[in-house]
Amino acid sequence: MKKYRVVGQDVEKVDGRALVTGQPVFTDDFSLPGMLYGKILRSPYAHALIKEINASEAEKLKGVEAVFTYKNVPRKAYTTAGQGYPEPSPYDSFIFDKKVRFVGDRVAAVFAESLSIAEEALSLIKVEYEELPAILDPEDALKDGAPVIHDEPEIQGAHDPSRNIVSHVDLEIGDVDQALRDSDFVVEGIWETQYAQHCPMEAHIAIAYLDERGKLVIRSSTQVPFHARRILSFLLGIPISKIRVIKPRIGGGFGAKQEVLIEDLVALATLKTKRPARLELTREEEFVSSRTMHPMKVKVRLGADKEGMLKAIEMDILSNTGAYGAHGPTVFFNAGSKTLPLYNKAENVRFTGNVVYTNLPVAGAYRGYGATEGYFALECAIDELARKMGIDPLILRQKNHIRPGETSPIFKKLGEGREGVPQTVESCGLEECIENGRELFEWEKKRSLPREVAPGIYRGYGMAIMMQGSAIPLVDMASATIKMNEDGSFLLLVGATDLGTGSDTILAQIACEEIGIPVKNITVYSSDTDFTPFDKGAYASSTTYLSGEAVRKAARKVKEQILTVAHILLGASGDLVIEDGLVKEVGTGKTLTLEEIGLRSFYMADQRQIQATASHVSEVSPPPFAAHFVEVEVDTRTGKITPILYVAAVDCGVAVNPQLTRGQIIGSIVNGLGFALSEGLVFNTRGMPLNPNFLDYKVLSSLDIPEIEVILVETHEPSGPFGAKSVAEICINGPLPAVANAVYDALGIQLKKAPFTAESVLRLLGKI
Amino acid sequence: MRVQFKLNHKEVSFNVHPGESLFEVLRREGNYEVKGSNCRDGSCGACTVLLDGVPVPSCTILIGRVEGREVETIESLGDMENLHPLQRAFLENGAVQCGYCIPGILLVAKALLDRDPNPSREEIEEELSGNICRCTGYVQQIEAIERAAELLREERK
Amino acid sequence: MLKEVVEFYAPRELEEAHGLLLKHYPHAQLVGGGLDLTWRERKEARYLIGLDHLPLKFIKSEEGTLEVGAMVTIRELLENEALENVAPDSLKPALKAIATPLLRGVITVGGSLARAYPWSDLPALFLGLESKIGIFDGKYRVFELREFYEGDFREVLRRALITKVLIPQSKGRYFSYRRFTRTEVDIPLLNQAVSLHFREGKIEHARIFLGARPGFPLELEEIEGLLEGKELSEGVIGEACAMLRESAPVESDFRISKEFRKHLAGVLLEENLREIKGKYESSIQA
Ligand SMILES: Cc1cc2nc3c(=O)[nH]c(=O)nc-3n(C[C@H](O)[C@H](O)[C@H](O)COP(=O)(O)OP(=O)(O)OC[C@H]3O[C@@H](n4cnc5c(N)ncnc54)[C@H](O)[C@@H]3O)c2cc1C
Repeated sequence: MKKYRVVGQDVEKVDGRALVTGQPVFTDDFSLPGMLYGKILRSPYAHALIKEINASEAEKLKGVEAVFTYKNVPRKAYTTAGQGYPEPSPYDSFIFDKKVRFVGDRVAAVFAESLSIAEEALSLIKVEYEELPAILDPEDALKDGAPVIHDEPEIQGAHDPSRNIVSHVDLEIGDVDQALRDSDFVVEGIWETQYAQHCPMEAHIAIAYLDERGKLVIRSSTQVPFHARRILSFLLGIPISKIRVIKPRIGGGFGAKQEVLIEDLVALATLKTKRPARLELTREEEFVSSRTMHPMKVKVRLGADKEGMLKAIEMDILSNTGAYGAHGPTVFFNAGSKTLPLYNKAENVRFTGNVVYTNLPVAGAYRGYGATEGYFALECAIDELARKMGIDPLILRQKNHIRPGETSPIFKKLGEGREGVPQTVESCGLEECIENGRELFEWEKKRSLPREVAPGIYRGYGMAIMMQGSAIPLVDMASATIKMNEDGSFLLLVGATDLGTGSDTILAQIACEEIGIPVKNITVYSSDTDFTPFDKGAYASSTTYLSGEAVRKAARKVKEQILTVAHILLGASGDLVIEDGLVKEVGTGKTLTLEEIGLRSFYMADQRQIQATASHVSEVSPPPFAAHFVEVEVDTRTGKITPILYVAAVDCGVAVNPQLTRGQIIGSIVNGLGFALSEGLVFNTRGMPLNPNFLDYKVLSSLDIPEIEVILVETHEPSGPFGAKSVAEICINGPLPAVANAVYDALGIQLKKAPFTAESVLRLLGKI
Repeated sequence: MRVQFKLNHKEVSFNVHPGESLFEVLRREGNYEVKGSNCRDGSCGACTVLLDGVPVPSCTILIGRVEGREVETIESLGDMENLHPLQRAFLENGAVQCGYCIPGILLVAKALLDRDPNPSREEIEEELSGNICRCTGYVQQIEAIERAAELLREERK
Repeated sequence: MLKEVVEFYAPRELEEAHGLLLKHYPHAQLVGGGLDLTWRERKEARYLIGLDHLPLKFIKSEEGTLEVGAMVTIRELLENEALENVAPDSLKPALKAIATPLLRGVITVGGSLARAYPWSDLPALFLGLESKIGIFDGKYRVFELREFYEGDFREVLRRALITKVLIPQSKGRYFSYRRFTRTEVDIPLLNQAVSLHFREGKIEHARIFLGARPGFPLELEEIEGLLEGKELSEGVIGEACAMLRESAPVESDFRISKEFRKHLAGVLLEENLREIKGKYESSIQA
C-alpha cells in the first residue's frame, strides 16, 4: 500500500484549540442587539383538535413582539427531514396545524424581549382542545377502525394515510417459504427496540437576523445547511437567493439535526419584526419534541442447511415513526438494505413491513439509521441458529458473510425508500475483523470458562458482525472549493458539515495529501450556504468518503494549476512534485516555494486566482465492516448487566486519521451500549413521556463503560479518497445484539426487547 | 442587585436579578466559554465552573451565593497559544469531538489534578461521572487526563 | 431564572435568618446549595435567604457524636476523615454514590434533609444511623430524626432552619447501606440502611429503614423484631430476607414495578446483613 504523508496521521483537530479554550464557536456564543427570544407552546394531548385558540392576551403582554399560531402562518405540507430533493419522506407536517398529534407537538410560538416574557406569554394563550382517540401502540395503528392521524387533504408521499401507513414494502428474492421448508434448521423471533433519543449536548438552537442587504441569515445548529435553506425557501415562499444558512461549530447531532425543526420559526419572527430572533429547545423539548430513533419490531426467520449455509432470510418490520413521517421510509429500508447483504450466501430473501404513524414523539434519523434495529434482530437470530445447530456462532458467521468481489441482489432492490443501486463489494476486511477480534478477545478460551464466577454472578461472551454504507449512491452530491493565497497558504471551503466528528480535519488532511502541503498551511471553512459550495450535509456516513473525494478532486485541480505555473517559473521540462510545501523538480533538485507561485499569480504574470471547485457523486456505497465481541457480567440476584470488555475490529478502508477514527468507534459503541442497557423514553397511558431528563433517561457515564479495545483492519477502497470508506455509524449497531448474545451465553435467556433492564432479566429468569 | 466576585482572578461586579443563576449571569456578560446548561438540573455538567476551586454546575448556583467568592472558567487554564497541559493532552489524545462538554470536563480534570497529581484510573472515571459526553465514550478523555497528569508531574520536576 | 425573586439575603446570624424567614412567610426560601430551587424553578420563591455566611459549615466530633452542620456539602463530608469513626467502610461509599461528583459539591446536608425526597439517600442514611437533627426556630432544638420525620416536618420547616445533624458514634453499632440504581450515576430506586447492635453474640437492637419504595423511608419493625435476640446466622438472614420479600411495603412507579422492588428489598437486606455479619465476625476475632 502506498505511504501517505498526511493521510493516516493523527493530525490535531483543526478546530481543537478553539474548542479546548472555550472560544465562542457555537450557535449561541454570540448575541445581537435587539434579539428576541422564542418559546414554543406544546400540546398536552396525544391527539386533539384545536377548537379555539386565542392569543390576544399574549400579544398584548409588554415585550411580546410576535405570536404565531396556525391562524397566521402559511399552510403548506412539507417534511422536516433534511434529505436530498425530492425527499423520500412524506409531506405531512405544517408549521402549525389545527390538529396536534403527540404530547409535545407545536401549538403556538411566542417571540419576546426576554425568555421570561416569552414564557409568561405562553401561559396567556388560551387553547380549547377536543381530544381524539390516540394510537399509542404501533400494532393498533393498523387495526380496522383505528383513528386516522393524518386525515389532512394536503398530505403527499405517504403510502396509505387512511390506514396510518407511511411506507410499505413487500420484496422477495427467490422463494423464501420453499427454502425455509427445505431448510434443516429454522429459527424465528421478534426483536423490539425502544424510543431512544440522541441527546446531543447542545440542543437544537437557531438565531435569525436580516443582514445589510435585507437577506435572511440563519445561524443554526444543523447537520444540513443546504437542505435547510431549500426547505425554508419552499415553506416560507422566499427565494433561495434571499436566505443564507450558517453552520458554526455544532455540539453534536447524531442525526437529530438532520432536520429543519426550529429554523422556520426564527425566520418567521425575524421576517415579521425585522429583529434578530433566537430559539433554543430545552432539554425536555429535545427529548420529546425533536427527534428519536425509530422504535421497531423486527421479525426474523432464518433457514440453513446441515452444513450451516444460510438458505433463507426473512425480515418483517413494524416501524413506529411517531406522529410525523420524517425519515420514516428510508430508515425502514435501511434496516434491510444495510443488514441483509451481509449474509449474501442466502439466495432467498424476503423483506416486508410497514412504517406506521402513532401519537407518540416523532422518530427521525439516528446514527445507524435503521441498521441498528435490523442488526439487533438479525445477529441475535444468527446466534440462535448456531445454538440450534450446535456450532460456534463465530463459525456460522464465517461461513456465510459477504466477501470481496461479491455482491447481493439487495443492493439493487432496496435503496433510499425506493430501488437501490447494484454494486460489488471491492474492499472487505470482515474476515480479518473476525479473526483479529477473536484473537484479542480470546473467544474460544473465554467461552470454555465456567460461566458462574461467584455465587449468583455469571459471565457471558457474545459477538456480532455488521456493515453499513458510505454515502447514498447516485443521490447525494458533495463539492469543495480550494483557493490559494499569495503566501502559499490555502483555503478549503466545504459545505460538508462537521458536527463534532472531526470531518473538517479529515477533509484538510485529504486536501493536503493531494496537494503536498502540511495541514498547518490550510484553513477549513464549513459551512455557509453563501460562501461554501453545496454539500448534502452530514449524514449517511458520507463526509469522509463522498465529500472527501470532492476535496481530493478539487485539490488535484489546484495542484495541476500550481504545477503549470511552476513549470514556467523553473523552466522545467521534467516531472515536478510538491512536498512539504515546496515544488521540486525530480532529478535536478531545483525547488520553488509556493509563496513564489502565489505572488506571481496574483501580481506578476499570467495573473489569476489559483483555485478549483470539484463535485462528487458516488455510483456505489462501499460498506465498512466490523466484528464486535463483548464480555458481560450478570448479577442474577439483581438482574443487572455490566459490560466488562468490548473488542471492536473495524474495516473502514484507510483510516485518514486513526485517532479520530477510534473516537468515532468508541463513541458509537458507548451510545449503542446505552441502547442495550438503560436508554429509553417511558410513556404513561396518555402518551405523555415520564422521563424527559437526564435524571431518569439514563445515558451512560464514565463509570458505566467497559474496557474498550479497537482494532483497525485497514483495507483500500478503490472508490474512496486515498482508500477511505466510512466509520461514523457502523459501530452503533453492535452492542444490542452482542450484549444480548453474551447474556444468553451467560444464562440461557433471550433478551428480545431493549433496553435490557435488570427487571427484564429477572423476569426472564423467572425470579419475579 | 449587584454582586461582586473574582472571575478568573479579576474583580468583577455585575448588576443581576436575584433569581438568576451564576450561569445566566456569566453568559449574559459575554463569558461564552461557559457552555451548555439546558439540562436545568446540573446533571450534564457542560456549564461547570470552579467555585473556590470546587467544580460545580454553574446553572445550579444562585448568583447571590457567589458574592465575594472566586469563580474560574476555562479561560483560567490556557489560551490558544499557550495551552495548559490538560488542553494539550486532550488534543493529542483525540479526547475532543464536538467540544461542547470540554470546558466543563477540563475544569473537573484540573480540580482533580490540583488535589491529586497522580490519580488512579478509577478516580478519574469517578470524577468525570458528572459530565456527560455523548461523542467520545469517555475513553480517550480518561487517557488524556492520565497523560496530562504525567505532563504536569514532569513539569514540576 | 427564578423570576419572582425580589431579594437575596445573606444573613450572618441565625437569628437574623430566622427573622427573615418569619418576616417573609410564606414567600421565603432558605438556600442551601440551591440545587433544588434552581432545578424545580420554584415559582413561589420571592425572598431567598442564603445560608452561606451562617456558622453552619462545621464537622466536629463531640462526646461520641459526630455533628455535621447543615451547610456542609456532601463533597466536604466525604473528604472528612471523621466519617470513618461513625460507620467504618460504609458511610463513605454510600455518600459517594449520591448524585454526581459535581452535584455533591452543591448539595448540602440541610438542603437534602429539608427537601427529603422519598427517594433521597441522606434521610435513609441518617435514619439508619440513629441520628438526631438540630433545628433553630428561635430556640435551638434537637430531635430524634425519626420523630422529626414522623411529625409534620414540612410545616415546621416553614418557620425553622435545620442547623445540623448529630450522628452517634456508637461503638457497638454495625452499619450497612445499599441502594439499587439503573446505571452507576442514578437516584436510588430502592434504598436500605441497617444498623445492628450486638450483645454477647446476639442482635440486641436492630434498625432498618427502607426508602425510595418509592415512598419516604419506613422503618421495618417486623424484620427488626425477627432479628432482635438472635444470632446473625445464615439461617436468620435467610428468614429475614424471605419475610421481607413477602411483606416489603413497596409500590410501582414508572421506574420499576412493585414485584421487582419486593425482590430487591430482600436482595438489599441480604447484602446489608452479610456485610454486617462479616464486619462483626472480623471484629470479634480481632
Ligand atoms: C440531577 C440530580 C440528581 C440527584 N441525585 C440525588 C441522589 O442520588 N441522592 C439524593 O439523595 N439526592 C439527589 N438529588 C436531590 C438533591 O439532594 C436535593 O435536590 C437537595 O435538596 C439539594 O440540596 P441543596 O442543598 O442544593 O438544596 P436547596 O435547593 O438549597 O434546598 C432545598 C430545600 O430545602 C430548604 N433548605 C435548604 N437548607 C435548609 C436548612 N438548612 N434548613 C431548612 N431548610 C433548608 C430550601 O429552602 C429548599 O426548600 C439529586 C438532584 C438532582 C437535580
